Amino acid sequence: MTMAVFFSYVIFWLIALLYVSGFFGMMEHHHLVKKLMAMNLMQTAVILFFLVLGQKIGGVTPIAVPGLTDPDAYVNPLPQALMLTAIVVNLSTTGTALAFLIVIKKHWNTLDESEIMRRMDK
Amino acid sequence: MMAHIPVLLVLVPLLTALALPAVNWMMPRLTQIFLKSALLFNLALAVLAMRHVVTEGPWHYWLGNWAPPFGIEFVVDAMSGTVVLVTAGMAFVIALYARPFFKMDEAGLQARTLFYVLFTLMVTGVIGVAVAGDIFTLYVFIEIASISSYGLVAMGGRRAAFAAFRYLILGTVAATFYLLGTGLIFAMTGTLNMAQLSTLLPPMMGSPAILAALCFVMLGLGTKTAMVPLHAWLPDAHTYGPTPAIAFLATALLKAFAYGIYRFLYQVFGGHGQPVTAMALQILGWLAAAGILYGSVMAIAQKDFRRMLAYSTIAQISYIPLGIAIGTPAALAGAALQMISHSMSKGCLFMIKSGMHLKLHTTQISELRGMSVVMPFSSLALTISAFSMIGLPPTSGFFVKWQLVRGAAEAGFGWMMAVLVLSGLLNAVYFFRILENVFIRKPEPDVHSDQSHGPMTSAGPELPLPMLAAMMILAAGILAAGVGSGWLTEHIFSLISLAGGGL
Repeated sequence: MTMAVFFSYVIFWLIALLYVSGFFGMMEHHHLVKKLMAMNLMQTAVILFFLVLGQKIGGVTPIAVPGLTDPDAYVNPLPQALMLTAIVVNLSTTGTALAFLIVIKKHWNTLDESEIMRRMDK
Repeated sequence: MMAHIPVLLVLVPLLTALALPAVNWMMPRLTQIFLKSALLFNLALAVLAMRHVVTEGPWHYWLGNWAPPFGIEFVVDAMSGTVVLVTAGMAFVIALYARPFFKMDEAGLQARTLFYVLFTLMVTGVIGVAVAGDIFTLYVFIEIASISSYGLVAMGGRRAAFAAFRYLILGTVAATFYLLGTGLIFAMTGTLNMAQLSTLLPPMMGSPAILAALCFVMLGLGTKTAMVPLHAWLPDAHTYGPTPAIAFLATALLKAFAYGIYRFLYQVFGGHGQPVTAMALQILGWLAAAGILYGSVMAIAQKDFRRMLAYSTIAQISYIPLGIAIGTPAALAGAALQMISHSMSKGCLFMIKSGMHLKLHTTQISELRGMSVVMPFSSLALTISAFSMIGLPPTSGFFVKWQLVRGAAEAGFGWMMAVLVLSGLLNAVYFFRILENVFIRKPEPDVHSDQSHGPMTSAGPELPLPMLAAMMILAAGILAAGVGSGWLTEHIFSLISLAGGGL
């Protein structure tokens, strides 16, 4: 398998696999921490997807190199800039979720979703 | 300064949120004045922006004067101006309402500051969603609004923390769907600017990647708007969260996401002019109709007023996608009017719900007997907003239904007219049941021996003055928007563009 084939097809399937496994993991698990981890898998898959979009085989880091004026020689910097923002968003959702988990653990003394749902109906 | 209003609309609440803890720490007495004057200033800016749109057409603002493909663009047009106006207005009224909601002890004051910070952040996000002119900026603002709303829901106690966690998980999945769609669009076109996309996308609409992008974006925004069948997070979050937060969540936040749907389908994907998008609009119409019926039927089944309101929100919010799906100028005017009308009436109902909790210590519908004697002003506001929900003239809700039915008739969607009429009847069932308890039935003295007699009321005046004032402002607003709906339609909603082509 050449690098070109890998970067134009296989990697997208791998990313899709990561994304889908996150999605099903979230539906499958009743433990809230595992749900959160599955959610992080999905977020990571999307970040990888964007980064691969901007990737070029043999591309140069998008910081101006003296003498290199051909824009095609550089990796596309826009997806990287976008994903920097998306990583910050992921960080804050994960942080917020962990804070909620601390509160849930303190109040319900369990992190099992079906158990909490059962007690909530009472 | 006048030239920078679009960016100020976002910056004012953002800076207020950042400055609020410092102001509260140094000059606690000034916190309220600072917050309310900032929100009032923002409302004035929203009105000025709207005036500019009416007199001079859509307003394209380039951040730092960088032209669109490289810079960030903010757009204020008739539809986004409406969302901004609703958001800024609701933000001010809810800030007014929220002060007496928290207890005056140490913990209550701390919670209040936290609430106001998250609240102003959410206002930032919602206004940002409305004015964003490129699809990634839209994502960032969606997440600002969503994350602060998760935090606000969690402030409601132990059940709320769990509801907020589930809301967070679903909301974040929706956001990754949206981001994935954005990525596909970017890969196909190489741009993120909406105006550019609207010219680049039409020739590509047949490609599977764009079709997938359309599906992902709609899944993401649909979940955030709580459209059936993606509404699972809403009832719990709206039942357990603190009232002032929910009053904003159920109104401005959901409206902004519904607006996002309009923005994508008409101004990015080409509206009814594209076969693929026309199909998407048709599916949207079916789902919206299902949401209207499902929400209304579930609302009838509820015994608790606050849970009933949550299901009623699912039904009422679906009017906006329905109007978008029909796609005639009349239907879109109806959708825009629903943004104003539902915000005011549902906001008012949530405020009354919290008032019941304070004064009668119950929100069970069967225990509201004799409320009109104890809480005359709240009962008046309840009547006006319930009439607006049902769609009785002269409240604004009637004109929403009128415009939507007119649009559906023009476009030849007979079944949509049937759904609208049926939903009015269903709404009447559950609201008249409440009005009957509030006005007609007398409190029964001591039927259940273990219960206290009649509605257990707290002594003192009906409700703190700011709470009553907020309710009255909204009730008056409902009537004003109803009476003035002709003027609104003629001067503002007629400017809503159906870029790709309506029906």
